[in-house]
Amino acid sequence: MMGGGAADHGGTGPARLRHLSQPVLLGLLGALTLALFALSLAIGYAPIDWGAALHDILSGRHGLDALVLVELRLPRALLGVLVGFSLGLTGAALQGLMRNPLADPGVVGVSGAAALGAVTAFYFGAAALFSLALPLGGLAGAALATAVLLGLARRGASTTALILAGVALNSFAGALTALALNLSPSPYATLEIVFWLMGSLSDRSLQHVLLALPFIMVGAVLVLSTARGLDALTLGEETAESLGFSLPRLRLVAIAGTAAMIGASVAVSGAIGFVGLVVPHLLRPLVGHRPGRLLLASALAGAALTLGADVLVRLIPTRPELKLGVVTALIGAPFFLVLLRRLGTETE
Amino acid sequence: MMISASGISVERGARTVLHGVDITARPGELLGLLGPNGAGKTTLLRVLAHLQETTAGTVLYDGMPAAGIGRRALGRSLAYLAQSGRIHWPMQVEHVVALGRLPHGTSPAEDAAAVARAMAAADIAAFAGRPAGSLSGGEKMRVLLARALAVEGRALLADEPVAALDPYHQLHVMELMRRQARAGLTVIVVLHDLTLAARFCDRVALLNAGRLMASGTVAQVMTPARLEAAYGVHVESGERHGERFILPWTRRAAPDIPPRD
Repeated sequence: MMGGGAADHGGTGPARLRHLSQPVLLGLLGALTLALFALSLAIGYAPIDWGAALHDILSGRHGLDALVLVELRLPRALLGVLVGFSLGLTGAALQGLMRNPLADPGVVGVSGAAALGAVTAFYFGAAALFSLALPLGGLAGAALATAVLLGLARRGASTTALILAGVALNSFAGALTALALNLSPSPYATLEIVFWLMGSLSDRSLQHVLLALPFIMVGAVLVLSTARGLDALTLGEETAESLGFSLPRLRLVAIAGTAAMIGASVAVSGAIGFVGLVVPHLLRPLVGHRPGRLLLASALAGAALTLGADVLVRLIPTRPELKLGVVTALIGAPFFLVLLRRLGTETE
Repeated sequence: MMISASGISVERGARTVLHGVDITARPGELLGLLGPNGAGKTTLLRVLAHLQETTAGTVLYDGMPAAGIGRRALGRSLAYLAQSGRIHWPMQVEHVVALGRLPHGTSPAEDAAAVARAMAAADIAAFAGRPAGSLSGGEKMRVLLARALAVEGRALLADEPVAALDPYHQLHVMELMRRQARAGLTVIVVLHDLTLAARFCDRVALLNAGRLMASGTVAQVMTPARLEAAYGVHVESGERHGERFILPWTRRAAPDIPPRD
């Protein structure tokens, strides 16, 4: 099942191959992301007076409307873009690197480690002392896992070995997270950890955005630079090497970029599942199944999907608000099953 | 491109896959690598393509080591056709062929022209727009061959390009290989079919248990006695229109003997 022969089926007939030109597709996805970004700013529990808010911001005053916009809505929308962009981009890159449509940013183990880092910050009470302890803990966890992976990659580990290491890291981080829950002194702390693990963009500040942004930007540059190498990998590792690509370097860059983006994303938002898995599947037919072209398209679609889901979370009238990670999984899992049916035997 | 390897040894764990092999492939020549399963043919081809590290020996490309040429530059002048023949995503045929242009960094127009030439040479222009997943085995091999031709390098190394093909496509691919050699490329092909080797190759090298038993012209190397020693089969052979055909006929009673030093 793993890796092989994804193309050896006739799932997409010639009629289905009509795809948009890359600039048009990226333009449409960019416009969709912008529209959902604006919608995300516009939607919330308290209606805001846009005129007053903009006037306040421009004149440097701190009116209530301006406060809601800058302190609540803007960070939430920006994080939606950043986190979704990261999930879509890294999902596409890892599926290309492994030539396996089942890969997801979670498989490299960095997200589990980031969650553990954040939970550790919770557990030792640091999160109560200052608000950024949580994301900083997440980044520290992600950095540790990344160091392990890059150490392996530098020693020439195969892609399979790297993924297995990621699975092991994820399991270990999951076990330690469960241990923290197990030993948690108060049910309240347990509840808070569990809620945080569900993944959400609510109650984040611009500080969270500024913390994640540099990692996500550097990671994006690294991951996007692998496009041609991922194209070459369509024909297998041997052929990619014969076309002049260094596989150890390609793995190193892809894993380092993924780790930076996902580590930072999980650190500020918790775990948001299925976006990184589903989005590349959705977009692949639209880019002619070319792994390199899938990257940016998948990143933009990831941002749009995450923003859209986060808008949905606020429109569904539940108290407490549904967690974004819960909604993406609720929509994503059945949708993914339908998609797999439609794709027929692609993953056999 | 002249590819000359000397003293090539490859060890994999405790096993020695190649023992001190010397071999030279010349421009304009179709060189066949022959030998039974496990003889080291694929490993040697990978060494010659600079895809396999050696424990001893050197490979020179027009007198230069690969390190002096650079990975990307070697990718532009040497095309490698892997045995697996797998296309992992159902990309359109012409996009698969265009992967051969990745090392070049030339303009889209130049790339498109090279892709068109390669597709014409491999006779696949008719299905340029089809998804790779819809191809038959013979079509897929020609698409992958076109991908290798699109590199427009000076050497083409192919690992068992006809192994999975019917007789029609076997002849088609071997004719293509020979045409590439006649056009001045250095062509090295791993083959199991003795008649195809005898008919199409200018020179052959016979490997057995990691050692080079013999290399030279078909007449020099592919003698019944040597084929029997290497493959453990008696062969029947004859001639038709001046070309030799060799058919493996009966298995020798005893299993293969280890190679003599």
